[in-house]
Amino acid sequence: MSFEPRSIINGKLLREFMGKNVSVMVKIEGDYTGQIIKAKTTDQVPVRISLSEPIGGNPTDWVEVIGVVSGADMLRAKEVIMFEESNQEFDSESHNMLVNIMNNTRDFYATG
Amino acid sequence: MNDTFGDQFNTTASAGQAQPEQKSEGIVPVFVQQVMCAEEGNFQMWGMTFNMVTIVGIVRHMETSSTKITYTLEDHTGQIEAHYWLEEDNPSKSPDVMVNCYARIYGSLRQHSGKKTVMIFRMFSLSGANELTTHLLEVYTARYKAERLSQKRPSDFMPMHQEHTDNSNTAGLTPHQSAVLQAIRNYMDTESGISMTQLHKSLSYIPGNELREIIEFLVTEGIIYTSIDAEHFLST
Repeated sequence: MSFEPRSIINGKLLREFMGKNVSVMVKIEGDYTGQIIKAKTTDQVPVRISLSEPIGGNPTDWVEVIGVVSGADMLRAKEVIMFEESNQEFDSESHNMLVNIMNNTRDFYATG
Repeated sequence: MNDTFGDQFNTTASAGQAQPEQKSEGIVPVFVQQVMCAEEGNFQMWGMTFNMVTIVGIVRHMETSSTKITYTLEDHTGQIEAHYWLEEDNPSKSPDVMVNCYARIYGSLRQHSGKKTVMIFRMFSLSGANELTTHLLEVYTARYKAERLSQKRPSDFMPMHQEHTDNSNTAGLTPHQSAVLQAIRNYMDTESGISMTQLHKSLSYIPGNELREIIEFLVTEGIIYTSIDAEHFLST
């Protein structure tokens, strides 16, 4: 698989990343068996995710969608990454804060 | 770590790691792209050198040979090859990770025919999504903290009480001593100065006997003096 860098974003940043490769943490809401699934981002934005193939198995609550932004509330998923079940609930607020930090820092790759 | 593995991997170890004067400072959490941009040798950032890195990424590929397992690890910034060398007496012992799932590695950087790789010391599957968030935050913390530390000049490490005053009289005073002196100075425009009772009140966090000792010290040093009576003070 050829690699393309992606940005880790949240719901409110979708507009700014139209057509770009992104990674978004979402909580799947309701039915996950279809070609299009509904989910919510860490900043509570409802999104629709179109899948190239249905999610195999029983997805964890929160999943990482790697794909391309296809609309202000649409993601075209290349793949859905699931995480190991953990007793710890996913800290979506911290993740959302992280996304804000990641998209507001400068010169990250500078090394002095 | 390098010493332990040095002999065995001399062929892949880069020249930089052999230099003893490079003081390395432990493990740094990084993104793949940071490693790719790095100079040969141990990972360096803002004047700090680290002999190990930790990367969290999706395992994209695994290939087992008789001596090692080669993993391709991918985070949002790039892909990197990492080698896990199998133990001679226990070749079936290998990390419990799956393709297309997240894993964390700890290892040291190697350069092999111009390509950066990681020699894995430890590898685990991720305990959950929170570990990913934590890693990403730690990468940012490490990066920006290193920059801040590099900008600290020795003068920045002066004790706090010296930063707040411009009077040479206060140099060498403890925080409590300078707090007392400051309180006395605040009453300089009154004729009799501050009374012991007022000092007690405004500096209630300093115990009474310590306050008396400080006063005595400041008087002995000639920084303050008693005014209308032994219970009122002015500063020189």
